[in-house]
Order: sequence, then structure tokens, then C-alpha cells
Amino acid sequence: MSATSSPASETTASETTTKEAPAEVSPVGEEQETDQTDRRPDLPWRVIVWNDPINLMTYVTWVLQKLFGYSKAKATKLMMDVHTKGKATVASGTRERAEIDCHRLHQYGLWATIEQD
Amino acid sequence: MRFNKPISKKRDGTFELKLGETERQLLKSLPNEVKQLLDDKDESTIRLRPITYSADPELEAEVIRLVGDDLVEHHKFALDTLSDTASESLVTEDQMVAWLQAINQVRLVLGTKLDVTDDEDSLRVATATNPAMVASYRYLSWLQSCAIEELS
Repeated sequence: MSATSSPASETTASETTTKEAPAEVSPVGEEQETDQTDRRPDLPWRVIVWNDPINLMTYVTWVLQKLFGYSKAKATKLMMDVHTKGKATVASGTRERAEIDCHRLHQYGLWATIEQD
Repeated sequence: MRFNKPISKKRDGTFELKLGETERQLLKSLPNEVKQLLDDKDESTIRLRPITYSADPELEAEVIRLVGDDLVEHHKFALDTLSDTASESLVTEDQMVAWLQAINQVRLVLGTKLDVTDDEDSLRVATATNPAMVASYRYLSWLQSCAIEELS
């Protein structure tokens, strides 16, 4: 991610990353096995935000607070994980929930993907 | 030396815009250019069409079918909001959030065109060949930071 800029700044900060951060796991057991891709319905789907060189660090923190209601401290911790480790798990749960969260992150321009444990 | 704040949140929850005419023209024109690039599916808009399932082409195709158009329409709505209100002196909080999204979309496209990387020298290198685009990128980065500060 990029650090905050001033009009005269020449600095582009590096980006972010992580390994999985503590995930908010919601119950997934009730999810129905709707197709052959749900081979392991008992395992949660993780929403991962990846480091990128364009999104500002402050912007990533703000988006995580706005979309997930995280505290400033938690959102900052996740952002720093993205920045320093390359990625961070920002949410997890059913596949349907993960797709909604990922779509919302895409609306804000974050680089997010979904994986199953 | 302090820069005057270009965006200030007022007590009534609206946001006051103190921008020069050159900046306002930039905020009117760049969103329309990005919309055209989106329609053309230009490679520079790849960050506005991100992959959801990098390891599963079938699931990815399903996501694109279900929400791909919605995502592009969402981007265009934010870009229109920025372009349409760039001359205003006040905007609502919803409009300011759209500004933030649209500014970020433009930065993602410019950053992709400029091949911005984690290397701090990447923008300096780009400045040599594309100074106007780098200047726009830097200005939008600063304006985005100011907007985040007022929205936080």
C-alpha cells in the first residue's frame, strides 16, 4: 500500500500484507451444499485483502472500519498485516457471506479474494 | 507552510469544498475518461474488475455473471457523482463517500498506467516520461488523504 501523500510528496509507500489475521468466524455449518464446489462445507471461506502499491494505507484502514465496523485499532492492525506480510484475512464465514463482503471491498477498489480453508 | 484544507466537514454534516478551478476541471474530466476506459475494457481498468476466486475458474465465472455488471455500474455511479459535483461548494456525506471511491478508481487506473510499484523510485521514473499523469496521481493521492481525514 501507499503511504499518505502531500501535494509535494514524492513518496509512494510500499504496500501491505499479511498472513491470516484473526478472523471473525461466523457459523458455517448451516450452509447447504449447493454444488460440487462446496466439497468442505464445514470449513469457512476467508476474505483476503492483498497488498498493492496504489491503495493508501489510510484508505484501507478507513474501508475496513466502514464495511466491517472494526475499531480503528483492529482495522489498523489488519492494514499493517497486509502492508508487512502481503495479505490479511479480514473476514470469514459462509461462502455467500464471503462473496458479499468481497464484492463490497471491490466496490471500494481493494484487492480482495476468497479462499476456503 | 500549511496547505489550506481542500475539504472540510461542517457541523451540519456536509462537506465544504475549497478547490481551484484547475483542480475542479480535473475532477470533472478524469472520471469521464475512466468511464470510457471501463466501457472499452481497457487493460488499465483491470484493478476495477478484480478476480474473486483466483484458484477456481468456475466459481469466478459465476461471480462475474452474477455481479460483474453491478460492480461496473457501481464504479460509474461514483465517477458520475464526482464529475457532476466537482463544481459544487458543498456536498453531502454520501456524495463525499462517492468522491472517495471515484478518486480511488482514478488512482487505480493512473497507477496501473504508470506501473506504480512498491519501489519508491517508480513514480520518479514515470515522471520523466509522463509528468502530467504523475502530477494528477500525486494530487489525487493528497486529496484522497484529505477526504479520509474529514470522513474519519
